[in-house]
Amino acid sequence: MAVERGVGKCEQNHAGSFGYPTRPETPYDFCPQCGNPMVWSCPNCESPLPDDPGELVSARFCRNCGSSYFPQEEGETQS
Amino acid sequence: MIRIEISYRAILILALMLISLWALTKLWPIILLILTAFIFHTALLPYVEWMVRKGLPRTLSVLLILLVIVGVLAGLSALVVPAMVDEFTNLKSDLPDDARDLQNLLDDFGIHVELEQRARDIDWDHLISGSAAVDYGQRALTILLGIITVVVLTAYLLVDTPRLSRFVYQFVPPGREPEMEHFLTAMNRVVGGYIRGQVVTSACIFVYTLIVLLAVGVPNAVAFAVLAAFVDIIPLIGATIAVVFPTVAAFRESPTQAIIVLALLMAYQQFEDRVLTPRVYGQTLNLPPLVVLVAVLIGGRLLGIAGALLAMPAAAVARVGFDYWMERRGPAAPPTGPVEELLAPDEPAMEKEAVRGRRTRRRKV
Repeated sequence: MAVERGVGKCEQNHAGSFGYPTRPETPYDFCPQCGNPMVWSCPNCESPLPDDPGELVSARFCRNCGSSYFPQEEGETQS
Repeated sequence: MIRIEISYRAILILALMLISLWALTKLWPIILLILTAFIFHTALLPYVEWMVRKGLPRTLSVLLILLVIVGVLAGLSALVVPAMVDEFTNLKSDLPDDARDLQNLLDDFGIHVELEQRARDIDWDHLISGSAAVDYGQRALTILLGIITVVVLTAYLLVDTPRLSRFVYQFVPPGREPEMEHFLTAMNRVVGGYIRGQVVTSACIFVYTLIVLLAVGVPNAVAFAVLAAFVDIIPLIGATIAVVFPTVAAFRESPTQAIIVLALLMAYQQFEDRVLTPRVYGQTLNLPPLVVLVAVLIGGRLLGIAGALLAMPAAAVARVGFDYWMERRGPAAPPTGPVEELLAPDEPAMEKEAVRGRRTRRRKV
């Protein structure tokens, strides 16, 4: 059975990961640094977040469907 | 007056560097054993993981794989060593006669060398004296202990891979694990590629040597072919050993056979050095042939046989590190700002117009 692994971040750009050695085995809901919700995949198309650490931090939109990773934050900015 | 100030930190770093260098030179034999064990660990890990996925306990998988390898190596050694001892004994007794034959052959070509008397003058008792035997025995024991150490270290590394992995990953910041995983995968690929490349070249020289020696009719052909496959691991001296021993054995049959064997084996060495090795390692390690050649020369010059052996995996690991660094640097940022700022002020207006046109078209697209 393949081990599921992934990376994610919160809206404060705190990166996290699961499935790797010394990390939680499953995705967790909230950022341990700021308490904001963690995003592990695109809320719209469920594509995983980019592997590249630089891209992970800078990406705010899904490269697959163009949706925001943080739709709530995006809505607040627009209003 | 120039005043140079050196901080305590700089002095401390310099002292640490010097101590590290001193320790490196003192501990080099141990470091070499550990590096070798890591290379074998990397090469064998996929097979251990495969057996673990099939449901076998990790320790049992490691033991089985190492037992198979040690068994094969012992079998091949059992084939080679008696044959080599036999050849050496015959060589010792037949050397004066062989030297006379060679001397007669050279006389036919107009080359006059006194070989027979020189062969008779060799002091075998001195060469195979008690002190020499002790010296050879010590060397053999050191090599044997080294092999046992490498096998044991490899076994520990293979069994403890999950713990080793956790140890490495604890230094990786959150979110950078995929990067580390890619890096380790690339390292495993190139070091595994080195071992696979070595297996390919050793298999090729084994088959070729066996065919040549059987066709020419040299005794102990299998043993010499196995020896050639073994010594093929040593880049510089290995080629000489692989040629000299079968040639000497062929010479005992007839000088003509010796010349044929020498010519064919040397031709293969040229083929392997210039064609096979650069291609096999160039593909598996993703290194240009020139880099392979330069790496072996530098490794051999710096650390002798060990350096030449480690040169190719070291160069491949350096390549992985270089690629990683280049990726992290990322592509150069595209120029931004108005067209007028991108062009030098003295460039003609037509050129500026052309650039503006290209940008407009690009936007439309």
